[in-house]
Amino acid sequence: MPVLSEKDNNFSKIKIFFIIIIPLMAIVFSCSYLVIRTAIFIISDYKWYEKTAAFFLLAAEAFILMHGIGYFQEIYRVLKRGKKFISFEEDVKNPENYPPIAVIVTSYKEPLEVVEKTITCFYNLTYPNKFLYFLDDTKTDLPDKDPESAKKYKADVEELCKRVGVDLFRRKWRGAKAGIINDFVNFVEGKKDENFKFYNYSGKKPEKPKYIVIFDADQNAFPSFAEPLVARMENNPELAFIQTPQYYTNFEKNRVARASGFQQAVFYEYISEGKGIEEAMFACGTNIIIRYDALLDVGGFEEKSVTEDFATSLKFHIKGWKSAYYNKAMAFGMGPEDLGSYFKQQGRWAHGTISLFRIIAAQFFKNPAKLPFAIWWEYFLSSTYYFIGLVFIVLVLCPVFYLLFKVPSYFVRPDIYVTFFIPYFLISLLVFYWTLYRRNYNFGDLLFGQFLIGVTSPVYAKASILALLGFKAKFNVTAKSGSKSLRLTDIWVQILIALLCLAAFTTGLYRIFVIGDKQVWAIAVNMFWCAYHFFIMTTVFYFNNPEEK
Amino acid sequence: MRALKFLVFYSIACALLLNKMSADTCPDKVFFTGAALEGNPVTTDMLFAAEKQMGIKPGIILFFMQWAPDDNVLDVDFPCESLNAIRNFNAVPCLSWEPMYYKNGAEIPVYSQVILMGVYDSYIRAYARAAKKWGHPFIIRFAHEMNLGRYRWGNLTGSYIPETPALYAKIYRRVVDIFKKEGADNVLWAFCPNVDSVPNTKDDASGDWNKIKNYYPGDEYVDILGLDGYNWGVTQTKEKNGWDSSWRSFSNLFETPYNELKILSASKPVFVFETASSCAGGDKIQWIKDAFTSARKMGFSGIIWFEANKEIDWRVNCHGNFNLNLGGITPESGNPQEWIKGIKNEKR
Repeated sequence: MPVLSEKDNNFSKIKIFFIIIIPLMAIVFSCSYLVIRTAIFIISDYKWYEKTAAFFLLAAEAFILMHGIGYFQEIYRVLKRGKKFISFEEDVKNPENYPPIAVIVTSYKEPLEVVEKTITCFYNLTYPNKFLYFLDDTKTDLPDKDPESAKKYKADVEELCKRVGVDLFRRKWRGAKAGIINDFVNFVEGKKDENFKFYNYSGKKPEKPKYIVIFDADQNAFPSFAEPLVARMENNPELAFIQTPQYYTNFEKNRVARASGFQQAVFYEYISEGKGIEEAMFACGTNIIIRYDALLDVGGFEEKSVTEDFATSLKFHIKGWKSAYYNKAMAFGMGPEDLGSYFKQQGRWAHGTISLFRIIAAQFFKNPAKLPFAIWWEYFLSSTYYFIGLVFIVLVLCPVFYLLFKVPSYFVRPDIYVTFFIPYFLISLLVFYWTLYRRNYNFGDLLFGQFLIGVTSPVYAKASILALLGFKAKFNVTAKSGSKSLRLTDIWVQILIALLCLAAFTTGLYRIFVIGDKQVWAIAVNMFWCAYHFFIMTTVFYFNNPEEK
Repeated sequence: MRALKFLVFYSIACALLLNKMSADTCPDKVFFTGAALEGNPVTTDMLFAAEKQMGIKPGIILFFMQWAPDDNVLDVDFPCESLNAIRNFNAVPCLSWEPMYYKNGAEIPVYSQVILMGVYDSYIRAYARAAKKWGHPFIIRFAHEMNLGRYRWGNLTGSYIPETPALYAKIYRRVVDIFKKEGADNVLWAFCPNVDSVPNTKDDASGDWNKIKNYYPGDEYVDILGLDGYNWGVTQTKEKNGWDSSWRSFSNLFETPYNELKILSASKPVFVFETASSCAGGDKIQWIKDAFTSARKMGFSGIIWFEANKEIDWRVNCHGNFNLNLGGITPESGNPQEWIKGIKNEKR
C-alpha cells in the first residue's frame, strides 16, 4: 500500500509545466482527432449498420476524451493548489471547544464480529463529547427468516451494545440506510413514533448533535478521527460535510479486495482532491462528517436513491452548502473478497449513480442557474462514470466486428490514427500512472485495478441500461467473510467476450497470412486490440480465484 | 627453514588456543543486572539514584516510550537525551517501544491495521534514521508482553482473538524491515512475551491460540529474547483486582516460558527484561537472592529489575534496609557495552 501520511504534491515548477502542457497537448490532439472523425463519419458513404457501429465507437471515444479532460482538470487543480493543500492540516488541530457529535453506525445484517470491531473503534475515539449510536436496520420479520436465529441475532446485538456502552436504535424498516438515519434524526428531534425503539445503554441522555459522523458497519475509525474534522467544520460554517477516504486492509491475500482497493484509491487521490478544491466533492456514504443543521435544512437524506449519499450531496449543493474532502486515511475497512460481492456492490453503485444522472440531467435543463457551471460539470462527470461499462464493450466489439464480419466502424485513414490517437493514448497513460506513482502507488497494482474494471464492465453495462430505462435493480449487501468463486455460468459474458476476441484475432491471422488481405495495417491494429481485450477478460479467472496463499 | 616451519606451527597453535579461549567467553557466560526505570527522559541523576538504591551499578537500563498519535505522525520524539545519559553511564540502553499513545490520560492503542496500511511508515522511518544517526548499539524491545490481553498491541478491545498473533508478527516485521532498509543496524531487536499467556487454556478452552511461539516474528527479525514476570505475592484479590495472585518463586514464573523460547531459538541470548517481587506473602529478600541464583543456573544472560513504585512498590530496596550489594549478589560478569558490540557484529 502507498505511504498514506506522505502526500507528495511537491512537484518542481518544470514538472508542473510538463504535467500541464502534456495533457493540454493530449486534449488538443484528441479534440482534433474527434472532430476529424466526426466529419468523416458524417460525410462518408457507408451502410446503415456500419454507420451505427461507427456512431457507438465515436460516442465511446468522446466519452473517454471527456473523462480524460475531467481527470486532467482534477490533477491540474491539485497541482495548482500544491503545498497549500498539505497546509490544510495546520489549521485542523483540536477544536477549541468540543461541540457534541453523534457517531452513527448503520448496519444491515452485519456479522457480530464485524459490528463489535466497529463499535469498539468508536468507543476508542478520543473526541471527548461524543454520543455513540448503533442503528440496527436488520429486518427480523422476513418470511424466509428462521425466527429463532433472527431472535438470537437481535439479542446478541443488544448484548454487545450493552457491553460496550453504545446506544441502540431500531425502528420499523423503510427506506434502507437513508431511512434509518432520517428516522434517527426524527427521534433526536423529539418526534414521537411508536415504532422507534431506543436502548439507552450508554446511560447518557441523547443530545442534539452539532455534527453527525456516519460510518458503515464494516468501516473502522482511527481513534483520532473526529477532532480535525470537527475543527475544520467549526472554522467553515458553510461546509455541509467533509468526506474522507476509504482504505481496505484485507488486500494482502485477496486479489479482488486488492484490485478494488487500488481502483478506489485512484478515486480517492486526485479525483476527490480536485473535487474537494472545487468544493464539489460528493458524499460517499461512509467515513463522513455532516453538519446536523445542514441535514435538517435539506430535509434529511434522499430516500429514493440507492446511492442516497450522492443524491443528498446534490441537495446540499443546490441549497448553497459547500463540501470538502480531506485526503488523509482515518479509517480502514474490508473490501469485497470475491467477484460475487464485488459485482453486487458495483452493480448497485452503477445503478444508483446512473439513475441519478437522469435526475441531474433533468434538473440541469429545467434550471441551469441552480448551480455554478463548474459544479454541474463535476456532477455530470461523476454521474456518467459508470457508462464506462458500455463504452468498454463498444471498444471491445468494434474490432471484433471488423475482423469477423468485415464491418468497418472506424472509417479513418491510418495516418490520422497514428498522428492523433496514439500520442493522446500514450500521454494519458503516462500522466495517469506517473501522478499516482508520485503518491507511492505502483504500476502493477494500479494495472490490476484497471483490469478489474474491464472484467466488471458487463455488470456496469447492465446496470446502466436498467437505470437509463428506469427499471429497478436488485440490491444486495456485500458479503464480508469467506471467499468463494463464482460458477462459470455466472461469468459467461466475460468468457464469451474473451472467446469472441480470440476468434477475431485468429480470423485476423487468417486474413493476413492465408487470404493475403491487403489491409494488413488495419487488421493488425484491430488484432492488437482484440489481444489486449482478450487478456483483460481472461483476468476474470484470476479474480474468480481470489484467495492467495 | 626449520625456524620458519616452527614459526608457522607456533602461530597455528596460538591461533587455535586463542580461538578456544574466546569460545570459552562466549555470550552465554555473560550476566548483567539492569534496571527498568519509569519516567522520560532518563537523566544522569535518575541513573545514579537507581545505582544508590540498588547497591550496584546497573549495566542495562530499560525505559519506556510510546508512539505519536496517528494524527501527528510527523512528531518524531527520538530519545537522544536518554540514550546519551545511559551510554555515558556505561550501560546499554533498552528502549521499550510501545505502539500506543496517551490522550487525556487514556491509553490509545495504535491498531495493527493502521500500521499495516502504512500510516506510521514515515514515523518509523524517521525513528530509524535518528537511531542510525545516533550510531551506538542499543536494544529496542518492541511491543512487549503481547500475549497479555491487557496490552492488546494493535488490537481492539474485545478482539484479542486467534488472528492476533499473526497480525502481531506482521507489524513487528514491518517495523524491523523499515529499520533494516534505512541501515539502522545498530539497533538490536528484542522479542519479549510475558511469562504467562492470558487468556490461556487453563481458564479458557478456546485460548489455545495464545502461545508465545505464535507471535514470534522469525529468527532474522529478532536478536535477543526475553521475558517479563512478576511475583505479585498476595497483593491481588478477585474482588479488588479481578484475579487472585499467589506467592510464586522465580523458577515457577520463568522455567516453562524460558524453555519455550529456547525451542524458538537455542542460540539467542535470553534476558529477564522485567521482574520484581512484592513483599506481601513471603520473604522478598530471599526471593531476590534466589532469583539471581536461578537465573544464572537456568542460562539467562541477565536480569533487569523493575525499579519503580508503580502498582505496588517493586523496588529492590523498598524497606530501606537491603540492596543487591548487601545481599552478596554478584551482579555482573562482563562489560555490557563490549557485549552488545559483539552481538551487533555477529548480526552483520
